[in-house]
Amino acid sequence: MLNLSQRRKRLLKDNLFEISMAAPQFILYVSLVFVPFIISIPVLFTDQSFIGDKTLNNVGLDNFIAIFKEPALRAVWWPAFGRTALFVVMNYAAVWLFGFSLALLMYEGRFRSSFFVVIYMPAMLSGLAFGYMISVLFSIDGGHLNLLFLKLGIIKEGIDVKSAQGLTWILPLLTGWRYAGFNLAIFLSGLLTIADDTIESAIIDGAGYLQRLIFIIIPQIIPAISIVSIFCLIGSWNVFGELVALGALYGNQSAVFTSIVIYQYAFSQGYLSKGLAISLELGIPLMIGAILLQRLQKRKF
Amino acid sequence: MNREKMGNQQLSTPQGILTRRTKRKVTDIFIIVFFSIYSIVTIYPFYALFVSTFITPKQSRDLHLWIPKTDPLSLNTTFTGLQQIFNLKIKDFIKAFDLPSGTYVKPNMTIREVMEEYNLDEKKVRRYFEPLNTFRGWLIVLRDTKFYSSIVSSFIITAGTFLGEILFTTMTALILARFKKRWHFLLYSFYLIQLVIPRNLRIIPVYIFLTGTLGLYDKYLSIFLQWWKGAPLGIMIFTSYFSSIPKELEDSVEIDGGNRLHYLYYILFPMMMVPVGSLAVIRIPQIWNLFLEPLIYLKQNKHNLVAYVSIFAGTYTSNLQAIYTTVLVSTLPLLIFYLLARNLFIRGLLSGSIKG
Repeated sequence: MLNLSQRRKRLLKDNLFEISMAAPQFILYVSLVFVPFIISIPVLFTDQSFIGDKTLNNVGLDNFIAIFKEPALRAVWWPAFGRTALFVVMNYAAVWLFGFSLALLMYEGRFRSSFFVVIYMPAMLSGLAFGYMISVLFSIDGGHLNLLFLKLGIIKEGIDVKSAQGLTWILPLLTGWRYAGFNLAIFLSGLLTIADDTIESAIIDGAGYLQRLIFIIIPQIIPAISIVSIFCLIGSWNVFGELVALGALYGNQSAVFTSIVIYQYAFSQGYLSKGLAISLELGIPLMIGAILLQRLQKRKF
Repeated sequence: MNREKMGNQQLSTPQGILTRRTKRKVTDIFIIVFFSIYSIVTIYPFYALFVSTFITPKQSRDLHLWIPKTDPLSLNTTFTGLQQIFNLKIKDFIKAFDLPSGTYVKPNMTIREVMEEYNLDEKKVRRYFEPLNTFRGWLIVLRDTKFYSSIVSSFIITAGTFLGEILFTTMTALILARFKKRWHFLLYSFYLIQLVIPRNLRIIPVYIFLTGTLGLYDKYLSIFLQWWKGAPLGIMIFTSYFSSIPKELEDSVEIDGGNRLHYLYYILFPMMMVPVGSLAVIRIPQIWNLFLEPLIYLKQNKHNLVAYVSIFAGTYTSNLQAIYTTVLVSTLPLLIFYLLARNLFIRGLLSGSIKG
């Protein structure tokens, strides 16, 4: 039986061990998640062009109001914001079209792993590779699917994926296809938690498929829906590689979304502090949105 | 009347069973047919990408469902053109045709002019250029040394990042598992705060900190650290897995005179394949496909495959064959890994690793 001082020694040893194990990652975490924001605060109020720029001037709040007052940035930012917001909405619809529909079919059809392997394959593509793949399919002067659809008479002229219309419809649709496996997995995990008895009793009570879907299945998979929503609604704002492949950095204005504007301002046009300010102006509302969606996930139904 | 009995009565009639069985069969057939068509539609773009690596600009306006026969190369093509299109080195050409060393072939000379000057056999010349013409995209990529260095870079970034994350996350999760103390729970919740911080909010501040404050520009460590700090997914997977291991095992190690390091080494390590596999299926594709981070933190000689593709495409803007070949080749390693580890992917994804 240990006496008090032995117990204290043991507790101290235990605590020291725990702190030594948890400390390394904790230090890295604080250093790379919170410290950067603190260090960046002074930069926000200067005209710093790049890392190592010694000729800094205080500009007050100019960086924050630049998206409203500066003509050059205004001309680029707000159309990009509109395009990105539209993409986010269309992509979210594509998530339901592909992810949820496929998950329902897999759920009803008893899971078949061989199909899942194929469905998940496009998620292995990088954003850049995916963007080039879209060009292979829908390039105006030689895209495979364009030529195929023209030959079959489905379309009268080729779809230009790099145009504003093409980017509005084709990019979100194909992004939904790309992440179909990922979203399917989340939805299916939710569907598999529904007790069979619940469904069977609904069938016995005479509920049709649509009624079961709306009143039983969807309410029971709200956590899965909110996870998919968080990933899609927040993650879609980060679309970058696809846009580079579709010419965003080489003159295709239709492919310039908010991520491209932030990248160009901060890293290639020499407006680091301005890029930082606009990334905060976009990122903070998104963070609030993510918090609200997360609270929905934790809600009990 | 009892609803269950009534339901069973209805279903257990011969007609009821037949209808239910038939409905089930029809549904199954429809689902299999649908997924078969969907699978073909999913694979087709990969196939189209592969075929595109063999389609010359002249052939690009026609539909090709298979690798097309390439038109023979015009003998009026200059060596400048050959250098641009095929990345041809003139010294390789001189060596291939046993021309005397010291032979000077002017870049603006055409193939026909060189043939006439050095009395080269036309058939032999055409045979030399035929594979160049058909596999032009592939040859440009496979002859580029930067391609190989980008593969090495991709492996360094992926392995260094993932292994470091496993190590640090294991150390943290070992302590947080079971949430014995109040600060364990607080620390766990603290790590989850990252879930709500969007990536575009973090990128520039982290860039300023790592390159400006710590001076880590052009160092792999600048990328490693961003993942070693721990991500919510890894923390959740490892903590929940370690918590699920029976406490009796931990107690038995203590009874035998061991400490938690012994518990980690003798009990947890042998069982780590499950959480490591669950994390790997999400993390490895994410890290392999990193684009922005290698582009802004590393110089060109350390770019990974994805960043290499973007620079390559910027250089060969009109040579779509070469661009598509680079894209396809950059995708292959991950596709091969995915197909070999597909069971791990399915298990990891559907066990709720994404939900955590």
